[in-house]
Amino acid sequence: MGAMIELVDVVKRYGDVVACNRLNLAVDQGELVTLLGASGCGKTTALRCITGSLRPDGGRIIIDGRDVTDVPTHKRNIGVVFQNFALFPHLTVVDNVGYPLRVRGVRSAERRERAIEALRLVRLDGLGGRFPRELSGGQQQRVGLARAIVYEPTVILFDEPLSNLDAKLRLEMREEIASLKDRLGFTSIYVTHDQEEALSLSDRIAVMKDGVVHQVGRPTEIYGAPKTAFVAEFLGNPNRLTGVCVERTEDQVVVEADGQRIAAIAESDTPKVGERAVVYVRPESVRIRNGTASADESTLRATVVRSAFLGDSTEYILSLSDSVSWHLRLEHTTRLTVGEAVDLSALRAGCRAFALGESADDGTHRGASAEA
Amino acid sequence: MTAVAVAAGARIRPRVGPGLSRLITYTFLLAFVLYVLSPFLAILVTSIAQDWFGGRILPGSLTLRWFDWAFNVTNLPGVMANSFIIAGLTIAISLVIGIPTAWALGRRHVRARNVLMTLILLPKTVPPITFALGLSREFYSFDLVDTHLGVALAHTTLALPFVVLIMSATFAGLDERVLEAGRVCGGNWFRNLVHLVLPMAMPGLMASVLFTFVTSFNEFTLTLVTYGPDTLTLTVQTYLAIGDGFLEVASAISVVLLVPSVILLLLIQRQIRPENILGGVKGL
Ligand SMILES: Nc1ncnc2c1ncn2[C@@H]1O[C@H](COP(=O)(O)OP(=O)(O)OP(=O)(O)O)[C@@H](O)[C@H]1O
Ligand SMILES: Nc1ncnc2c1ncn2[C@@H]1O[C@H](COP(=O)(O)OP(=O)(O)OP(=O)(O)O)[C@@H](O)[C@H]1O
Ligand SMILES: [Mg+2]
Ligand SMILES: [Mg+2]
Repeated sequence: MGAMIELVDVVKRYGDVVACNRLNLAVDQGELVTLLGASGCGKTTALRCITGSLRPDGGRIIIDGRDVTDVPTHKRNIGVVFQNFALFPHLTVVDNVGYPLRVRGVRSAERRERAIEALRLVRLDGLGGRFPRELSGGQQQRVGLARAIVYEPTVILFDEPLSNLDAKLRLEMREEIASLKDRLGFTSIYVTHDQEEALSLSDRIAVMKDGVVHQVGRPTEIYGAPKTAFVAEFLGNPNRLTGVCVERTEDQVVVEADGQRIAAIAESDTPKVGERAVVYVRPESVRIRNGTASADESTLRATVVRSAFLGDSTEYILSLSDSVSWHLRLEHTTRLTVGEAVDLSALRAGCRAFALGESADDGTHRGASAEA
Repeated sequence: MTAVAVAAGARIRPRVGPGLSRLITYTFLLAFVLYVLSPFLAILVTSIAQDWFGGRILPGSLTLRWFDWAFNVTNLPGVMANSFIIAGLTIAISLVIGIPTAWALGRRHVRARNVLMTLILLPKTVPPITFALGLSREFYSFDLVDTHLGVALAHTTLALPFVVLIMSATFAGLDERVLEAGRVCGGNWFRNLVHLVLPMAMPGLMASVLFTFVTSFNEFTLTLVTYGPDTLTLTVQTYLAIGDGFLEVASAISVVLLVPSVILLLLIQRQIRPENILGGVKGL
């Protein structure tokens, strides 16, 4: 089966800002693909190009085999769930949900029936007579969801639908969207800047930065094998160490920083000897060393700077040098005291090295380049 | 809670008891109300009074004769019809010109926005008589004097600023994201206009219609230079009656003139809160 949604070289500029820079993405039937990226990287812009609210400066948009680049929004037959809900304030919940049916000429009795059915699907039965202002944030977003699914569009777009909800509700709604998708089988693009949301909800993730897709892949691929420094930095909240590549063999790259050496797995694009490099280390690959390190672990010296109790575990901030601090979560069975010197072991499989070229990909100037 | 408030009040004004302070407050309030209402009272009484000359405090007797005169001698129904026709035309013209202008000002990026706003406000800021003079010269050359359309056009220059200000604030207040949601839901521009934009803009529209009506219905200066025998309005008729020395008849016409305004005032007070309508209006 071909792609349900296809973006081909989509370009969108606002003056000097290139919000989407030759975006390519293909979403298969029934798939949920997440656009993941920091604020301002062009996620909403990409979505608005798909809905037709924005006309791309270049490229094509194809939905279900039909080139819709020049089709007006109201003829694209897409469901959208908005970040700010965007409900019609003067209409009741039932009329809000029924609006897509109303403009499609569905008679009022059937409209009502189907709206109530959609409300039942999002577990909002009985609130149909209220106005949006009489609902809590979570309930409003459910109405938004019901309005998007009520006319059974084949494609539903989500623009950070959960970002205005509290943490608990966010989890709940995430589950709900996943189960709705399983039941109704729609194809969707889901925009978020929340990596956990992306990892848990997506069939595939497209990681974006400054209008460019850096990597597309299944959550495990994106997390386990990031292709660029940005992707590695963006997901999994890694520790980092910046230094110079001092050794490169068949299966590992060694980077030295402030007298400490760390080994990372070698890949085709890893840095050459003598080049400046950054190593990203997954927190779960770091442990307190007791006894000797195995062959695939590097040993690093650190001092405990601070600790934070998190309930099920304690997070320690460890200083490797004046400028480098790492964080490490430990079960309560291991206790460290502030000021204590410890030896850390970093598993090679959890370490990735990237060359620090001139390019903006080094991840250090992320904020600055987003503003530029 | 109340006890605390009273105690605090007592401490601030130890010499004035609550009774006295209340008395002072009500005296001022009453004076204010009398000041505002007394002209209306005078008109009302004059319009139904007989033998109310000299130093008499109360009229000798009451009568509906002046209303009778007003209706028969001055063709009040015809004059009233003129006022309504002209007000209706003014509303129509003001909305037709004002709504698209307001849409552009409120929702689009207009380059000369400030210049435009100043231009729209100009007729309201210059002395009416100056503006009337220019207008009358123009109207004579276009043969618009003594036509309903002509008088309505003159009134439109006064009503339009209101309509543009109110409607551009209303339109600017519409949530673009909600309108986008309407399009995404599949509504074409016309359906979204009817089902979404109009209902959401309704308070502003109502206010525009009411303000325009009152402006036209009560307008005097511009009417004076554009009216003719066929387009005599209630305000001008009142003025003519005063000029002819028929104070009682003039009062009777005035009472008729007041009725729509009072009804509208009550409507506005009940339905529309000024802060909602003018909340976003700048430069009024
Ligand atoms: N109407 C506009 N005019 C000018 N620049 C714009 C406009 N809309 C967006 N931009 C710029 O385009 C870039 C991408 O914006 P976009 O809204 O797509 O980001 P986003 O990824 O959705 O961010 P967020 O996560 O904060 O919603 C940003 O730099 C933004 O400042
Ligand atoms: N004006 C109203 N009329 C009727 N019911 C209302 C009104 N406002 C809120 N409710 C109801 O009261 C309950 C609590 O609403 P509230 O907005 O306080 O929740 P909340 O804790 O802020 O939730 P959220 O995290 O979703 O914003 C909800 O069930 C809501 O439907
Ligand atoms: Mg956005
Ligand atoms: Mg709330």
